[in-house]
Amino acid sequence: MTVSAPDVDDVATKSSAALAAWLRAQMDATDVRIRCFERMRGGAIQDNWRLDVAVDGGPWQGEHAFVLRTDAPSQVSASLTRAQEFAVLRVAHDAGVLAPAPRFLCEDAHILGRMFFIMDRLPGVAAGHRLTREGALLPDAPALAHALGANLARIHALRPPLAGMPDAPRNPALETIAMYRRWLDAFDDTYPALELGLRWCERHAPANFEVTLIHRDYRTGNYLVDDGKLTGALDWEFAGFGDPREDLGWFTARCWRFAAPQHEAGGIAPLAPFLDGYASVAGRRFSAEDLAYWQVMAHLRWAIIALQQARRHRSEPSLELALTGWIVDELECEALRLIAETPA
Amino acid sequence: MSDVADAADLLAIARGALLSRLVPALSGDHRYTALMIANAMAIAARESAQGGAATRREVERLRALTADIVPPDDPDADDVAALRRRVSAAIRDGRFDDAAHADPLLAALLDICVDRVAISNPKALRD
Repeated sequence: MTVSAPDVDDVATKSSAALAAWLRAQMDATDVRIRCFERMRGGAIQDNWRLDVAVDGGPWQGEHAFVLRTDAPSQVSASLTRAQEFAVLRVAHDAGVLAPAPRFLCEDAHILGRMFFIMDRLPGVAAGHRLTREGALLPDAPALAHALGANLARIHALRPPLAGMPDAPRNPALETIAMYRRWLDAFDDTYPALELGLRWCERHAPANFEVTLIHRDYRTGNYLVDDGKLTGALDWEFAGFGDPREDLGWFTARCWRFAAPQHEAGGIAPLAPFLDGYASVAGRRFSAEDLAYWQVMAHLRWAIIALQQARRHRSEPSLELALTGWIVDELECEALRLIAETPA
Repeated sequence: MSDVADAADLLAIARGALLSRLVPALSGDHRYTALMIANAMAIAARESAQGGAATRREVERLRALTADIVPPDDPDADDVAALRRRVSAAIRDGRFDDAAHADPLLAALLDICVDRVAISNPKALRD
């Protein structure tokens, strides 16, 4: 939760009429009534709004449950624009990836004051602290992990180029390391543990790799589970081309296991069913060494993003952002432990 | 013992009241915010109790790591930010790559991190 900008609720009231008029045109409808338009809890980076509409006439006749996603006032480095995120969601959804169907994109900032897109609102629970704690939500956790692995492999089946997306890297690991160093260099302080991690990743960069579409935030907390089943992967703002193992490292990293660090697959299940699910679609299985390398990278990435969020607190005071800075030590510690445990 | 609660006592009693009297009455976002406040208060209390000593140990460790790359009369010898900067640059330049340097570096940085985690989130400490 981020403390709302003062004008946010105002925006909702004033904008409802403009939004209804815009949707009426998009939907070729005679009337669109907005039943609900309110901010959802969640992302410190994007704003998600619950949007329920009743439509008269045209192909969308009836009731619809949507999510409207727009830029928050400040953005994090390397996130996609809403137009790019909409495009990648469309490609992924069309390829059979479980994800919300993207419906309408609005690049006209006059309607809501910012760009936004509208997608289907899928049912389910996303909260990581609940999914890793409340057994009743996961009647068959290995089956869910299998589905998550299979879904990730369907994302990785998409190859460059894709219209509107940044170019594919020539060497994903090395280019990622160079980017993280640029991010670190923008800070006032220096971080020896993160430097050690990046140097280690540079010296151990994989010689062989593929480049595919990757999600870059595929982890517990960013997918919905309804009645024990996966309904969709959320938060595509960091998607891009990279080494598919980056996503597996991120998903399995200890920092994303919430209340259940003993469950290597995102705090919900052992690793095996997740890797089995992945292999069932991809036809290949990544090794524990592959995952260890990208788990180191995952902790470095999250630590650097946490530092960026902590710095935002200086211009945009927020308890949540301020506390995010205090998880960096833990993330550094985990990266160093993984390095210490990996045979040289 | 002084008559009036000191800063640490005051922080502890305030946090206790927040957790025992307010949190049970709250739900949803309000409860979440109250728990974040309690966490911030706990970190601040540990930082004020242990932060100074942790930084002094970090200075010692970083100084030991850089002993052979800086002169003994270095004016920044006690400045933790300057030491971190120096170690960071040396790591990026590959000056700690060989095992003779890499192993003590990893061990020292792990010790420094563990000291910091004891302040930021002691529950995360393993072993």
